[in-house]
Amino acid sequence: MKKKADYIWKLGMFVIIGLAAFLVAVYFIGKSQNLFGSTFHLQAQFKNVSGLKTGNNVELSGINIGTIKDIAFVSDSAVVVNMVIRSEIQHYIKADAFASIGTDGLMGDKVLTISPGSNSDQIVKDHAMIRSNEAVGLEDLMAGLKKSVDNAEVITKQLSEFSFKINNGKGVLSKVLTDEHFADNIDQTLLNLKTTSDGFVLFSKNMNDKNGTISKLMTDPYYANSIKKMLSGFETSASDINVFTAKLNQGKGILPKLISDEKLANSFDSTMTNLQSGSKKLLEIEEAAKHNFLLKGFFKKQKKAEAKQKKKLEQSDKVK
Amino acid sequence: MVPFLKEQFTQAGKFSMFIGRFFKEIVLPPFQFNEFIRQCFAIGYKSLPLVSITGFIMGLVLTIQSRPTMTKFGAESWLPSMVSLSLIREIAPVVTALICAGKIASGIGAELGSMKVTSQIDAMEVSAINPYKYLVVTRILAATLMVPILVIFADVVGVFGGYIGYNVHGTIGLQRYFSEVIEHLDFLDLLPATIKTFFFGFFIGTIGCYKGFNASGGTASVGLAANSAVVTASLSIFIVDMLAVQITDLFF
Repeated sequence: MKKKADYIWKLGMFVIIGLAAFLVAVYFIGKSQNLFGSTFHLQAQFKNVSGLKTGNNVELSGINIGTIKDIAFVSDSAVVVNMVIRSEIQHYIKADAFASIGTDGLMGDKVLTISPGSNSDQIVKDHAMIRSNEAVGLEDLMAGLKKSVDNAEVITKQLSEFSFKINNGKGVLSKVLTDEHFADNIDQTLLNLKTTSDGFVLFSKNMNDKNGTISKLMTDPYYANSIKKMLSGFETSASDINVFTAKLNQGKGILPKLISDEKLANSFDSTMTNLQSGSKKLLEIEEAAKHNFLLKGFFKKQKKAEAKQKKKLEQSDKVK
Repeated sequence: MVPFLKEQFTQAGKFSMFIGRFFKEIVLPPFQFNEFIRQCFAIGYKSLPLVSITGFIMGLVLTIQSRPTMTKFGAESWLPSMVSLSLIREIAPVVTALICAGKIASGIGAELGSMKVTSQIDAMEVSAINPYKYLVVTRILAATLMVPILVIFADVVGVFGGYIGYNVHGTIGLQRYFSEVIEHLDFLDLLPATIKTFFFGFFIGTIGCYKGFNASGGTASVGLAANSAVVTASLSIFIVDMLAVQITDLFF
């Protein structure tokens, strides 16, 4: 029996240490999952938990304060996340705190983060539902990115078309950029403009010259006075003319009558007709006189002289 | 072909009956408690140094070997949790069970085989001691209960070995190392791994006893029994491990 007592304590020690190690491991694992100690529950509703799993951590200000206990559907587009949090944290979480889902590191586990609200003094209650911020999923990010990439594609396409047109087209811009002749023209234009402006400079210089006419016109009070006098003279003559025309319109002299009297015009008209018929009769008389023997010789002489004149003219034409 | 198959089936049937007898004998009253304690001491306590050294080396080596890959992925800080996870889930149970198969199964096989060959078992039966109860039940029970405890020791020592291995190149405090290990551990890592070690222990003990109990012929069969016990037990450990992992994977 003595030998038995010798080994039995070793066996007991072996077993107890082994079991103790196991229990310690169980305790610490349980503690890290908040199975021991007093806890309270919170809930938050999400549309998309983006891969959050039971057992993921809950963080407040970057400190691990609890774990996700379960995740359950409440409708086709809503998921309620139930979390277990250590009791001593409860008074740090106010009623208007909100939950959001993030990632621990770049590729790590999902983490539910509780962020403090702005201005509530009320401590959150056990089993309370807190607000939630929808997580920005990778899909949303990709959708946004795709939109801008599409836009960029359209823009670059148009840009390339635009630059192609510039390089190969026949529009003004293309000419501006590529045509040498046009450039020369522009050059010439600019040169001309330069000479013009030079001339203008000279001109304005002359204008500013104190002895020049324009300068005098601009600056000499004497000139100004004379111009003023001239203008007033114009004015008076204009008023005189005004008076004259008024008299013409209304007066009873010959001139006004001549201009405006209808009767006079009629009588004038008939006078003219009489004169016309008179002269006609005179022509008839002349014709009669030609055939008269007394006057025949006179007319013949006249004809001869005319023919002579004609001949002379022809001869001079020929000589020329 | 048929005689060969028949022989194999006979073996399987005999082994099944052996296991059935174990469960029958264990519930019947006279229990050899002192012999059980002695076997526990022999199987558990005496294997501790061997298991501790193996566990320590496994943790150390695994950490050092994993570091380059983890560094390549920039996940060096995950080294403690990764090493401890693989140790606790798979490596410590299997390596410990294989060590125990080498030490315990061969010991039991050789011991019972020589007793059988020298007719000591028959003598026991004559002197009204149930040899099955005295020799087999105590040993199987001891192996079933001690191997899990040995695995827990191997876990602890192996994780500590990982701490040493981490400090070969980097520096990390003991407290931070263990808190990191615990942080990524789950009951799902610890419990199935612990439960399957009971089966490891059970099969180590059962196969050792069966091979020894069924030794026949001269002293040569003692060596044969011991050898066969180690081989079969090692193989059965891997098969049980595969089944256990698949069942765990199925349910969790």
